[in-house]
Amino acid sequence: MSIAVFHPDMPTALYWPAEDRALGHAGHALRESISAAMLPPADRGTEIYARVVGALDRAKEQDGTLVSPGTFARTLDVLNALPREIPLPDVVVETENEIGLDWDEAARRVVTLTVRDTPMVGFSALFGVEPMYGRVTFAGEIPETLRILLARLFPRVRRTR
Amino acid sequence: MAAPRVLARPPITEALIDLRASIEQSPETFRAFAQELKPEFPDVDERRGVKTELKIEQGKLIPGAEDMGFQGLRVKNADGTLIAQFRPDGFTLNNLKSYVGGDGLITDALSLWARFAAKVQPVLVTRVALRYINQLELPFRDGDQLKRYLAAPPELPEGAPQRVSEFLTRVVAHDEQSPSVVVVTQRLQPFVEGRHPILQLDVEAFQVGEFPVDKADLRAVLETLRLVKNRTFFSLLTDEAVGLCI
Repeated sequence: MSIAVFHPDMPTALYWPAEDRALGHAGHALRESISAAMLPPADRGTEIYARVVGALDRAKEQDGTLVSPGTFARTLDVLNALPREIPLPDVVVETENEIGLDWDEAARRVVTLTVRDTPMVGFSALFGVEPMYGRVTFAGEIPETLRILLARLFPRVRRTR
Repeated sequence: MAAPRVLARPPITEALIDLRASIEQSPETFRAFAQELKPEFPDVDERRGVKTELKIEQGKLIPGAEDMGFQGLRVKNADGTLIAQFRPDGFTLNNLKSYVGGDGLITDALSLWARFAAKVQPVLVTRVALRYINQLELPFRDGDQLKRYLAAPPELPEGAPQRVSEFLTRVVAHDEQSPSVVVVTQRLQPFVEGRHPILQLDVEAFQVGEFPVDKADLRAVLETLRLVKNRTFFSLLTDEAVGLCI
């Protein structure tokens, strides 16, 4: 391979997500990945918003699901309350009133939170052969039960409170 | 580099043809055209641009939205394998789910384009692109070299860690045999124990310039792009990788 020196007549291939014409799932994944790599670094709040809105877009495109504003707002609340050292999860719209937050760290190391338009947050987790599930009340801070689960999923992360 | 050949199971998840042209027609013209296509493309979706602003203060939404106007139409056929996009800046035909073949894609795209162009009278086409997004599940074993399946994986020099869990590369290259530009994006998705890594291989070949709107002229450009795209695709994989698609 060799370098092609730029000249004014040379076609360019600058990447703009809005100009990306792909409509399929793989194209969407590539668009997100390239955007994350090429666009200016965003703070965590912006990333949270982008992930949730991305999930809303996919749900609308795939099966026309529109999420209730209350569920959307609670999802942002839960994500913004996560300790900063915990990586952000994958966000998936389950129904118009349920959004799933998935951490899938290995074949048997999975935590999922289910956020609805109520104060209750559902959780399910699998560590090895040990499944756990339940519901906790979210009132602005991550409940202790969920902190323990996330600490178990990310044991090498330094915990701060 | 693998030898080009016909694949019984091409790893294509999406193939598209994109033509850029300035189209100065009213939204009603686009809507009337979509009505003409209804027998073949019954699903019509009008696209509008919306600029949204969501402020987050103490975890609460303060929404705001501005309507940016008509952005075009998308029409879909009954089985969802073809989606055509008609926009003020051009036309795209997307083939999803079940690949119609290279000849079929070009023929279908140019047929729709000809009908559209007859309605909206574009003066010129300024960009012609052919893009294939492929997805391959590669049965790597832990410790395998990337070059077992990939002819051009990214490399880190000796001294840097050599065990790779994911990568993303995007290369823009200029063909010396034609005025074509190729954008090659390779993404190895992070994978977990018990699953095989998935490679997304995105090859777009395009030309920019001033092209006649006539479909015969555009076909010649697309056939050139198709050759460049095929040559590039097979060059990126080993014979063992291509063997997974036969």
